[in-house]
Amino acid sequence: MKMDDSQRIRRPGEGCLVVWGFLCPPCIWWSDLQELWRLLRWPWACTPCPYPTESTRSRRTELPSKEKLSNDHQRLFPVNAAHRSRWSTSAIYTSAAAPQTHLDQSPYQHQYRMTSPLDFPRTINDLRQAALNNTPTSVPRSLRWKLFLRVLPSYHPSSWSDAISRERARYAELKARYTAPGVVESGDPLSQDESSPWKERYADEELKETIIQDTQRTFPDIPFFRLPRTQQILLDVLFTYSKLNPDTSYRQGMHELLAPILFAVQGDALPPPSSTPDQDVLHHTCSETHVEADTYILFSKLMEHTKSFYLTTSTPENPAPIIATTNNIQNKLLPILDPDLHHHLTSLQIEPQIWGIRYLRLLFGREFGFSGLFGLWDALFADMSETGNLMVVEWVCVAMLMRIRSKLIGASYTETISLLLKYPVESESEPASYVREAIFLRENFSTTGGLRLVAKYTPVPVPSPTTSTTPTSSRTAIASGRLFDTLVSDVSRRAEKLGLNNTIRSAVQEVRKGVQTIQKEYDNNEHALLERFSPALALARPGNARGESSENLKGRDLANVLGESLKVLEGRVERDVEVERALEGIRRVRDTLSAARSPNASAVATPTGSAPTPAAAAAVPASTTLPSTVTASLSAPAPVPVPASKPSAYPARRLPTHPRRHQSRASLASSDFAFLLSGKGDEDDKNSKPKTAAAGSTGKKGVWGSGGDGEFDLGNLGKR
Amino acid sequence: MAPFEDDYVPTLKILLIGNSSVGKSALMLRFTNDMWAPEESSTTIGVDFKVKMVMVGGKPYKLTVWDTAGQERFRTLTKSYYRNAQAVLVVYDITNRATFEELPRWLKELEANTASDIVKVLVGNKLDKDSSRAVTTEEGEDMADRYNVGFLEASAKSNTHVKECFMEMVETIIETPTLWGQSTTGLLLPRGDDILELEAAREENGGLSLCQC
Repeated sequence: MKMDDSQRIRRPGEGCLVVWGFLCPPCIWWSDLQELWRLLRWPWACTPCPYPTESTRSRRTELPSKEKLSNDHQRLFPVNAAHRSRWSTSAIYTSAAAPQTHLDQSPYQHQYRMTSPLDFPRTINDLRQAALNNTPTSVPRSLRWKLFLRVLPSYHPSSWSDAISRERARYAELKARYTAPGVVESGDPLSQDESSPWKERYADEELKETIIQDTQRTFPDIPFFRLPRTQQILLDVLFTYSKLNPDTSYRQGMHELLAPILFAVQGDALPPPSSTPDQDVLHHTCSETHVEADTYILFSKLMEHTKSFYLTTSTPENPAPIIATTNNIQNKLLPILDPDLHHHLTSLQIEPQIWGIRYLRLLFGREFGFSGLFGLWDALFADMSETGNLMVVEWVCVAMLMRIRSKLIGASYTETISLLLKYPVESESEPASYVREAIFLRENFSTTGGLRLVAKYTPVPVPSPTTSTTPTSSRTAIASGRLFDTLVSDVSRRAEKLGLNNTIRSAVQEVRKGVQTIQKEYDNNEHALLERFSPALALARPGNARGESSENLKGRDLANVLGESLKVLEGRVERDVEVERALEGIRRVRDTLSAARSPNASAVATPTGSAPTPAAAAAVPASTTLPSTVTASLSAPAPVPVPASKPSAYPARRLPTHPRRHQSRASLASSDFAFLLSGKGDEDDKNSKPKTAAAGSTGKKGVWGSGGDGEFDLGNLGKR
Repeated sequence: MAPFEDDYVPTLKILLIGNSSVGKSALMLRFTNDMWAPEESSTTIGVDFKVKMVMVGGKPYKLTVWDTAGQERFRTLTKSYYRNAQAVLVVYDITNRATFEELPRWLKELEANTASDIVKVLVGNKLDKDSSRAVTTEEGEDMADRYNVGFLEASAKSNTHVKECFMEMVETIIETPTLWGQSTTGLLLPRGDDILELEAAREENGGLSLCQC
């Protein structure tokens, strides 16, 4: 019976049923014994094979239609490919692994680890989300990258073969032109004439030597890169690229962008289809006979985005692009998102290019190591396929800095440089989480947005209050109010003890007033609030929808900040600058408090509002998520805070000149703190009634405000 | 002797420059960690950095060794690399003539970017490959004389003259009072937290190795 099965013509989707390793010849051909063993252990991982076996190919009468192909990716991919792709390239390997002697086999294939049963995302967007969330799919990594980097123009497989064939032909032509030049017959070999063909020949030889110096020490501990053929591919691809791009030529670092690509392409390589490409699109797209060409294609696509990092034409007026980029990260993005960290780096005079050059040129390869970079690149490329650029790397840098902020702040110059140049990647955190945080920061580009990450990566100085998990929140509201009171009086007490002046005391009083007002409002409008915000909260925190009241969440969030400020105050009261920093911390608390009032006010205005407005829905998660739930909200597949807030154009251009946005308040103007308002107090008196729903959007600027978007309004928050 | 109170550990900045693949990183690793690790010899991108505590004249000093990428010359980072450096090692490979011939460019760049009194030493590396030498010792000495810099041949692999080289530089820095003054403000000013860095360095280097020189 079994033999009959393998003899007769199979139609797409029909396939053999259960243990197909024994029935489907391709599976056996392309599986070594270990794979077969895995296959026996996890037979459910197999799906019906849509393709006829080799023996029946010649008698085949029916091909899968194009509709069929596009409609059902699960059936598209031949099972042997699926088997392989389950062993992802980034899976565990050891440097002790015996080096393969032939490139015909996937490197370390025998050590690959099964990640999950088959799971083909239906759309490119699903594939993107899977990459961003580090969810395993059965789409081979090199194919993912080909899709993300737009080597393959669409997710529709029918277009793949043509697209990849064109590019391969182009590479073959380029390589032939550059790496195999004809014999130079004319001219004097010793001629110093610039136009002598020998001159170019010598320059080429020199270029090759430069490249070889680096290919020889590419990932020295990975045996795959010690193979002569691997090094030849690296050399040929880099040489061809350098000749085609004389403005950068070869620069150190390119080799470490190329090497992981080659590793991924080689790891996914499949034998070529024995019949027309249409029949076996995956075999054609990931063909082992075109490893080098595919590597070049991916590399040159990637270099379109990273080339600027390698340009070195630098004048005082026009610094090299990488200098501008790293400056942008440290001096434009960071001051908004994490002023304290920016202050620390600035006060130590740490120049961003010291750490930034390596981060960016290698796309964090050294920081995350060979095993970590694949997951990171997956996520980077996934974002790139959506935004069309690789500017997410700037935000990744910020996210990386902010993640180690507690180590950096307070560290000495040498400690700080050591941390930055030997970045401590946490072994337990997956690399893609850095990209998720980067995207979060990009979409919440404000101090409040940064505050959520700050809170996440700041050791909590106060014990978490035991929270009631009942949705009837009067108790928790009161509890959080008490927490505030405790904190505020603690601040006051310490301020006294440290001999702080009236200014700080006023600031503390300011916070207290804000808390009390909010407390009152929450108590009064508790039911209206709950009714109004429950859906939004549910949206923000699936699985924890009604677990904790928004007030409580806010309470803890603010507690962190106050604790931080306190730490600074304690240590360095004698310095004016530091006192100023502490003040800023308190100001931030006040900001967040102010920000919380807008939706509250609108809730009062329409207490029985049927559905939350998009702005309010967006606002709530942005301001109320717990530090500990930031992870959850960050890692949720779709950025939950604002479905409507598609990542806008890259925001660097609309960076405000001043790093801070503040909404001034009347009571502040009348306090000792009024100097901060520098003459704007009058205007603010008129415009900042706490219960005016539009208080945050009247276009009033604080001292630090700039432009029309300088307010702290929850509605706006999500849109940044 | 540098005018410091006992409580403070002064910081010195030493910079390594030279062509790609001459062994700058290997020299640094040999000196700071006493290691020879060809398997870790990835190309330096941008800049690398290590710290080592040393004892000179019974006082501790913290050496920050900056290892630069060979390809960065005349490039993006020049200024920031050289800033506040008190000593620079210009490294070439005695088995590679081309790296020697590039030296005048390195040395000129050095003159253009640093104070005249900083300590400069020319180092011919890979002395262990003496048999395949392409640059004679005399040539190296001539070059050093021409640019008025110190000279030494060393090997990071066989650990020849590496410690001597660094320690001599440190002593020269300490004996040059001008290097402690205006040009090095910021880096050299004793800071309270430097004491804590002893601990950091101890962890970093897997044990505090103090050269008793």
